[in-house]
Amino acid sequence: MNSTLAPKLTIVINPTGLTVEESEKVLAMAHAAAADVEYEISIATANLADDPVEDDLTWLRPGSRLTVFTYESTHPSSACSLNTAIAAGSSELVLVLEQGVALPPFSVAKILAEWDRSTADWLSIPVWDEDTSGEARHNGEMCPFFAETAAFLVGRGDLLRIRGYDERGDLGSVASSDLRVRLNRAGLVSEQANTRAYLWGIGRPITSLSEREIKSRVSEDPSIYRNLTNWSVPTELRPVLVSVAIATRDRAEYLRDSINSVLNQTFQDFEIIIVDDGSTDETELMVASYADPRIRYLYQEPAGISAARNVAADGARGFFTAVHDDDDIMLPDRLEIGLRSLTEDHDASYGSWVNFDNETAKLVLHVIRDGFDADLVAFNGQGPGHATWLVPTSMIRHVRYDDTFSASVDHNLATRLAWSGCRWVHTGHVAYLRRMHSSQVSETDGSNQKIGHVLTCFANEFVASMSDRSAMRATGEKHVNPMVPGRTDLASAFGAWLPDRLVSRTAIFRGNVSNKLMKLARYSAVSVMLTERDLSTGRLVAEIGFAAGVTWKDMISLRASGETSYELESVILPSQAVDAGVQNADVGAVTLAQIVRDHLGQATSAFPLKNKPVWFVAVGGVTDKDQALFADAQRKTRLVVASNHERFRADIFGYRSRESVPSASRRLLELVGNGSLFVIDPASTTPADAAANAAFILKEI
Amino acid sequence: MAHKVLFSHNSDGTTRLRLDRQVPNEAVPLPRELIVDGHCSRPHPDLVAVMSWLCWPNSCAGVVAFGVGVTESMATALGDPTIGIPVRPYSVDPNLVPRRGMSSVLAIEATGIVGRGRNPLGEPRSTYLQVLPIHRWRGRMLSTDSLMVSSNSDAFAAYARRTPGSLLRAQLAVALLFADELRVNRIVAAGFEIDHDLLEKLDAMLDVVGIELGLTESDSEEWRELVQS
Repeated sequence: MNSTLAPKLTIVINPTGLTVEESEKVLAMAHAAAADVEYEISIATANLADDPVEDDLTWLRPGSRLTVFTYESTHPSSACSLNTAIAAGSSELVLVLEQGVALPPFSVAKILAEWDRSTADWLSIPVWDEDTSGEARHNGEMCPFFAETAAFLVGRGDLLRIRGYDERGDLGSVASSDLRVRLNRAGLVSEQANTRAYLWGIGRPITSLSEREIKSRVSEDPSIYRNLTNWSVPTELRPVLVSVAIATRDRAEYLRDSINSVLNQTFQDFEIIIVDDGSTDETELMVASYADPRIRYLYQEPAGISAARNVAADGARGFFTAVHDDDDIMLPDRLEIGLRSLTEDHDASYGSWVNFDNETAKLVLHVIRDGFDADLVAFNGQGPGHATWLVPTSMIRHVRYDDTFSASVDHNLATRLAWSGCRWVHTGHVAYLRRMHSSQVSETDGSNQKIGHVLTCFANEFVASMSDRSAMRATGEKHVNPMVPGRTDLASAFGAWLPDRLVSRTAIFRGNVSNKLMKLARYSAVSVMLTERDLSTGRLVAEIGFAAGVTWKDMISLRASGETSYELESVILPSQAVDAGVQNADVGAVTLAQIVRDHLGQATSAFPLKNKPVWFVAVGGVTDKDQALFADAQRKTRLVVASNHERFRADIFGYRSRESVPSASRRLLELVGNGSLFVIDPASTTPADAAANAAFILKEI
Repeated sequence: MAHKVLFSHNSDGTTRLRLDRQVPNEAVPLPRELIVDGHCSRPHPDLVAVMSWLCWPNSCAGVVAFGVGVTESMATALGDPTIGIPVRPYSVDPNLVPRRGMSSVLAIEATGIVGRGRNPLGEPRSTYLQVLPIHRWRGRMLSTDSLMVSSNSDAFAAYARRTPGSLLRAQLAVALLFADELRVNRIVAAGFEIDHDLLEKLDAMLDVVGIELGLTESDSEEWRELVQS
């Protein structure tokens, strides 16, 4: 990136797919339009070496007014290029020109003058079907189907806040209309500029879809915030969207779990603000040990939780604040789901939570009814769980925690936010695991908590008449509990996220296992590797690796390296297992036999059922040369499983018909002198069931 | 029609003026509702139109429905391009009598002291309106010359982005809510920042509803004398 000026405006253009000639023309037109204005032009080009303009890059030579940002992208698209160019710009204002759209010479100054007069949040620039001199082409009308965002002026922060264009490939040409709709959903009001843009050259159509089709497509997803887990914008250019606020005092041990759970979020563009309310333990040292620039530590003399929370809000850089407690554990998708739940009708989100006993790991679900508001408070006094909130930081800053309260500050603030017009929505998911222990506020300051709660509830109904209070309660009663996923088996759904000392985790990697395990950076954790190879072609069909004893540190390490495709199996440790409702838990790593049996089922289920085929499983003994004898086998697969202590090989031969069995089995028996031969005959069941039921095969391993 | 403004009484004891989108995905900025504690009688439709324009100057553009028809004079004033983006009321009631014949004064102040409870104007038939933040105070209190009422009008100023005069706009909107009940024909606003353009527009709009707007500084000699008297 080469930025030598601090201009008033960044003009973003998109060169993806253009020829050199077209690209040069786009640049020249942009320069001419912006004459007399302090500007820069920002272009983002993915994987430049593969770009169609590689033969002549002279036009891309950065100059005093041109910023070229080259970035890595596996799936470059117009949306990716535009997003990165917007992020790479250095001014507060961005003028985006989509492909096929240009502005007349000297018109940018007029647009900026309109912006200065306007109080709108963004200006859409109408695109007319005319050429640079204003001469009308065709009917000389405003271009149909040209989204209001084909040319528009907006604050860079606003555009990056909603995470720019949606980069999902399936949105394609609708991404522009989708962006306009999401700016509106975010409450950003637009105004149409008087200055016109025009089509240049052949007048590339931005989309061929009808207006109705476009509306239908953009309505499919009512959310505002996109590209939450995958965004082409390089990390260093991304603004902080969420500030995770943690207030703490003398809980260094718990705080580590709390921070770890934030670092393991699927949404990573956050900062963590830790306000230390006068700790005397090693909290500061512990936080410093992370050396992560996203973690900010603020110390204050003991002033109480409300004051600490207000300090966090005042110092937050994120548009949203996610409240988190120093002893709780966020579920990995808590921030992502919280953001995704926000729509044009909701300003803040909250969710359910699961209590866990810090000694026994016993899990208890707390759902909380949907649509928190004054009516719900009147009905049951319920408030949204504090550590599930995702609230615009500006709202917290304005309404503020009441520092005259030492407890129930969350219920009080949530209710006061609702009085001010904040519209809450339940995400429909569990957001975090709440640690139940003896030093919780509810344990140590229970009476104040109740008083705070009573005062809030009293104020909530204070203005209403007696009959209206009944109406409020009746309305509140209609709010329902959402059916949160995982509610039927808490241990399976949420056990993996308990603190390390309460749970044993096994990570299962598939695909290019070796590379993925490298990212774990702890080879000793790898317990089993399994490969499946097609013996006819030599092609690797599947590779699976199991890593036992996975810790929070491992999970963060994997997340930091971008490795998120592994599955996690967990078992709550035995001393806690009974109380957690898990009977006869098999502790530790999965056994070799289990792995083979599971995979055998998968491998054989891939065979067609035609004519009820039969499989032979030869455990050891069949050489590569020997297996060539089985030319009539419809599929030949080799499973190899290796652990620290054992190695096991099984060749699976599937035959098209039962008639082949006698001769094939005779040949096989001659070959497997130092191994065993087993037959799976799914005559009366499905292949997968037959394989799974053939557990006896593996007992000899 | 992109937006609709609804006046309503809520069961929680509040009066609300809410901006609703009539078309999906239209922008509605924060906050979407002006909330005032206590149930107020429905103001003259022209007052509702002015209140809406004060609260949501950018969203109340184009065709807007105000629940009931406004007078032709108000429709003309709202449609004046000099007010910014012209507003075209969804319905005009030719039989609606313009708001006139009021005779009292209402005073508002940008940074009043909560609970002062004393009318600095000191004039007969004048009321000092104090708007308290609803997230700190609930309810309303009335004396013979003062009214204290809780509202979320502070949020309009707090969340305003590029709207000048947002503090005055929000407090003025609350004042207009009580204008009929208090028979107000003059509002004195102290200590508000306002640019000349907005003042001109305000004068034009308020003229239609028979209200004169006077501005003074909170620290002006005149205002101090009034407060101290």
